[in-house]
Amino acid sequence: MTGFRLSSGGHVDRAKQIGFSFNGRQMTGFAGDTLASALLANGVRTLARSFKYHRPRGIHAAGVEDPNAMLAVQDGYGYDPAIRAGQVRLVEGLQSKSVTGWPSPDFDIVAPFTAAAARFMSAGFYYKTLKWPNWSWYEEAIRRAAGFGSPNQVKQNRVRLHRHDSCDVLIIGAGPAGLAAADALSGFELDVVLADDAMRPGGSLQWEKAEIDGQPGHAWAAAVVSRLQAAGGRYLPASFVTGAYEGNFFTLLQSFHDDSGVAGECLWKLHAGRVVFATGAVDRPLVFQNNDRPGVMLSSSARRFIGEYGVAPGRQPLVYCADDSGYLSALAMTEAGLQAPIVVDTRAEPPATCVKAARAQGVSVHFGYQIADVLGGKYVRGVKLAAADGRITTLACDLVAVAGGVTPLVHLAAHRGTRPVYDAEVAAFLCPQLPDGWVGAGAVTGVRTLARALEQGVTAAATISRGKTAVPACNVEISPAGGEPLWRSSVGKPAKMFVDLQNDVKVSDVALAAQENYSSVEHLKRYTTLGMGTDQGRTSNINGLAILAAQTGRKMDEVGTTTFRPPYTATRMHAIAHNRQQDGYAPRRLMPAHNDHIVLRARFDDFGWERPDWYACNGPDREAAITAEMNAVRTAVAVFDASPLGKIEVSGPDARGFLNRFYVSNIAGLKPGCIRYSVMLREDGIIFDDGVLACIDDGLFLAGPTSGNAEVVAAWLEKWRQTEWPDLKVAISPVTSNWAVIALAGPRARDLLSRLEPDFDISAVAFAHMHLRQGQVSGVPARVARVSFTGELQYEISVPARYGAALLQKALDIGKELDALPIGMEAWLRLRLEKGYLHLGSDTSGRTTPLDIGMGGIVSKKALDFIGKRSLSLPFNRAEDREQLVGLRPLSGRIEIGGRIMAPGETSVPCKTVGNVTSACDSPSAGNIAMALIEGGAKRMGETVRIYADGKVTEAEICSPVFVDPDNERLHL
Amino acid sequence: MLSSLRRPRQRKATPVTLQARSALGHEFGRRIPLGPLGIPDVTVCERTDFGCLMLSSCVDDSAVIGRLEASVGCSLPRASGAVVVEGAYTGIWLTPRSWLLLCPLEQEFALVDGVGLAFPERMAHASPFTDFLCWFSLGGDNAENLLKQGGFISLAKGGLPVGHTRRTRIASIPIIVSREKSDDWLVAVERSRARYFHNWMQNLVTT
Repeated sequence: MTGFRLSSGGHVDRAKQIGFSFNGRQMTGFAGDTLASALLANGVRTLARSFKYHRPRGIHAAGVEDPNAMLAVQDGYGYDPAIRAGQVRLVEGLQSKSVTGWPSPDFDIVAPFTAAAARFMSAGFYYKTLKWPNWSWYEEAIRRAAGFGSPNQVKQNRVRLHRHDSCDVLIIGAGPAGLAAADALSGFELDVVLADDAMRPGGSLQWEKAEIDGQPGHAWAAAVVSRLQAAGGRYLPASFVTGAYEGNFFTLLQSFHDDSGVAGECLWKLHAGRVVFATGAVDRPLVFQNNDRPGVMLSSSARRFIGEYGVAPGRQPLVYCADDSGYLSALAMTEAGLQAPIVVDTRAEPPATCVKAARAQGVSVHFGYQIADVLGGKYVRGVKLAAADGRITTLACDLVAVAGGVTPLVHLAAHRGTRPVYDAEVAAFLCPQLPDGWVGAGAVTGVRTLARALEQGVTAAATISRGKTAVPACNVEISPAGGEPLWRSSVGKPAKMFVDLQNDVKVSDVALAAQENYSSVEHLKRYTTLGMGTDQGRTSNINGLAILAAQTGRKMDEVGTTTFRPPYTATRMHAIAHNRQQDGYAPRRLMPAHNDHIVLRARFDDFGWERPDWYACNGPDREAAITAEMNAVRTAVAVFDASPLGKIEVSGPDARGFLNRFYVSNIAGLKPGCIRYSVMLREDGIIFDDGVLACIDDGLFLAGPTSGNAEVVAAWLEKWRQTEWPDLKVAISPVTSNWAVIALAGPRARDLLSRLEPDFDISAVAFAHMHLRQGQVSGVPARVARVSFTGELQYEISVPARYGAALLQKALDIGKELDALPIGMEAWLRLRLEKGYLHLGSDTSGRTTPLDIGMGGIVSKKALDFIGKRSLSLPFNRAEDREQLVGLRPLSGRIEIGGRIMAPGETSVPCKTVGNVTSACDSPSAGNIAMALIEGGAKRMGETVRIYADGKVTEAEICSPVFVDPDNERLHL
Repeated sequence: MLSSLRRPRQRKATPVTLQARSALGHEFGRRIPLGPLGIPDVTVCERTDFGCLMLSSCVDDSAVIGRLEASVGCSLPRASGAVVVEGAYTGIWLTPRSWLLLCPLEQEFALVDGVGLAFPERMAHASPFTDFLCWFSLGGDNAENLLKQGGFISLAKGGLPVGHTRRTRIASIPIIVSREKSDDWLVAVERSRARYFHNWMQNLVTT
């Protein structure tokens, strides 16, 4: 095939020449060209090699249905490693490169080897070689030889937008049917969105010869769009509808182009009240020997190149058809001034009107022939025709335009779960039952003529608007009515007949799959990779499953289709990501005093909120700083930002009884001003939160879930209130972020608190451990809880978040005299480990109950029911060999977090294990210490256990988890 | 709130020695214009010039809700998404039994106390809420388009009506969106995410 630019015709701007390159060769095209049309115009025949066999590949289709023309493209805004040439608008300076074939697609070193080995590389050969001999022998070589495209460091400068919108009517497709619907909906005050993937409206009207309402089809199309926009409708060109979802939500990918390339993309999420489904259809190819040669092209694409771009795909064309539309191509070719094509019709008796029209233009027509073979190595040079009686004729040609029928593009309906059904009359899969609110129109419903498409568009609009509009009058040369499907040639070698050009799937592969009992269409797909390429089987699926049906003696409908899933076409990941990159990837939650922590040289970590892990102002390195912070708590005072701690106000006459159903501890007797620590369980008895609960008054409680669980617990409380106990008079008010919390911990904490001017008595007698006071601190409203996470005297001061930073700063400034230091999370967590306090998620697993952590006494004393109580009575949860929380002291070596407790008697690994180390640290006060969950741990105090971690075995003694101040004297200072 | 744990006796007023700061670190109690965004024709301000309470009722009972309205001096909307503006007060519907009440900043805690006194049994409750949310005013022709980049505001024809509120997700976070006028929007995000949301707005572009 040698394509060339026609001297006239097409919608390109011949006054504006565009320079571009392909594989380093400089070429020119015109404004309005795609990369595919420009390459054809420059006579490029071979631009790729096939995936498996490295056979030469050329342009097979003009648009997204092309399985071959994947090229690496760089424009003024970015780089795409593999994109279809037909999807790329030609711009000045565009660089394009083949991504398969080395050193070039014209001359590929690998091709002779794959040609020789082809008989061993049938479908599924890799699965078989996974068993024998050994896949890894040649895995590396195959990986290097296969694949499409390579990444590149070129920075993307494309603008990324998202848009969430709604409309009354979404019209998918601006072909004749969609446009007729849009025009008919004007004037009904409906918010209409018309979306189409092409740059210009009209669909096939851009290249087919047709008149509508006395105008050329493409002019009528432009006029309809103008009217739509004048009436307030929205037209989205260069916009693929990529997915259809429940509730008539759709994703659309809109591209913005300028003279430098794809300047940006907008990912729409659009909700539509009603939908006009007018996505059209694509040509179905015919399957015959060596049908993958460059120069074999879809018939409609040949017309499109001629009509829309003014490019002839070949000089000696031949049309091979089983469908009337082939004759349209023959007429288009003669009218464009090409050598009169030969039409080879597989039907013995094609429609007389088509034959007559073709012969009137000097086209010779052969009936009842099939192509037995394509001649030529790298491109088409001719064909061998087989007559019904077996006679073989050879014809010279450099272009074979194939028309096997049409495949309606029903993908979006199938996204919604609509099952395509085979229609024998149309010889295609259709969706007769569309989702609610959808109306089909045009080729997607199986209609073949322009008149019917326009009529259906108007009818679709009338269904929505309940108005009546006249159908536009149209005039065409010939109206293709249909064809007789020929799923594969009956002449030729099945091992050379390609069903899926992108993945090199042949008729023999489909037969092999059937023979090996992969007779489900889903198995066929995965075993042979039919339809799994980036073209998603648009030109291969139907032929493939028809061949499978024949192989297995089934009807088409019995075989069915595979499942269509979004996206309809490849979507750049950065269009989906939008601003969700780097800092925008996930919201970082900042505490009120965040900037002050930065000034203190905090080293942050993600604890759900950004929180200081340690402070560089406290030491030259992490361990030194943490040691200093811990010592400050044990000997002086430290200041800790506890703002993320959960705070949920539970109010109402039934608040006490309501909360008592959640907490393991008995809340019934919790007096105003008192605080109790407890845990909450799931229904299966597993701990899912721990925290303190404060009673403010008999009708108001303040629940304090862990920071990471604040929203989860609030939702949990609300869920039970609404679904199980709606009659309880209670309200739940999550208020976590309203309050900043600054904790003072250490023996000098009271001293520091007093300097912050609380307006209430904070003496040890007046303000005992586990109590709450409300009043003012430094003149602002405050709630102060005397609770401890560290085992030291500790106050948690809650103030409105607007004062949080100032309170932190004041505490540190005033606290200098008391040797106060800021303290980070790591030191805070090590301190609680010293004290044997639980850290949810570290010292609990998905199986830990309160009985496992020593709360058995509390549970047994609570007579009232609570969530999870029944589960705790089950034998499984009461078993003595359950993993129970204990402390560990090393006898040799050092205990590390995550170490596995080896079963008694085991001395080396691998072996049975009976638990794991849940927390461990080097404590300035207590040395190397740890907590662990160990089977039957509570009854094994004093035992020696072996721990395996990081390739080493250490010995430790099981002990109480309280390593510091076991009598709690420091808590009650 | 100030009195519920303390027996009533005269307390010495302690001078306020802490400086109040907004979520974005600005002076508190004002309407602060924020810098230009990547999208033209949009102005944005951080708002800390009003206070906020969260009101909740234990029951969906008109008598109880009526008493609550009387205790705060503002009607409370009963329809989903509705907003009531009465003088210096704005009531925003959250759920059938909870509302936000926007009020003069200096009245926040007094109103909370007032509800506490009106409902000693706690059939209704008020929580101080000024600091929970960070409020932004957005104005201009492109304000709605800015929000639409981040999520669905409303599926109603014509968009969110003026005088209505919606809780939705924009930029992957929960948000309260209130349409004050055709091109004037009041939005609120939870305080810890304020910086993220502001950065998100700043990083938006248009074609």
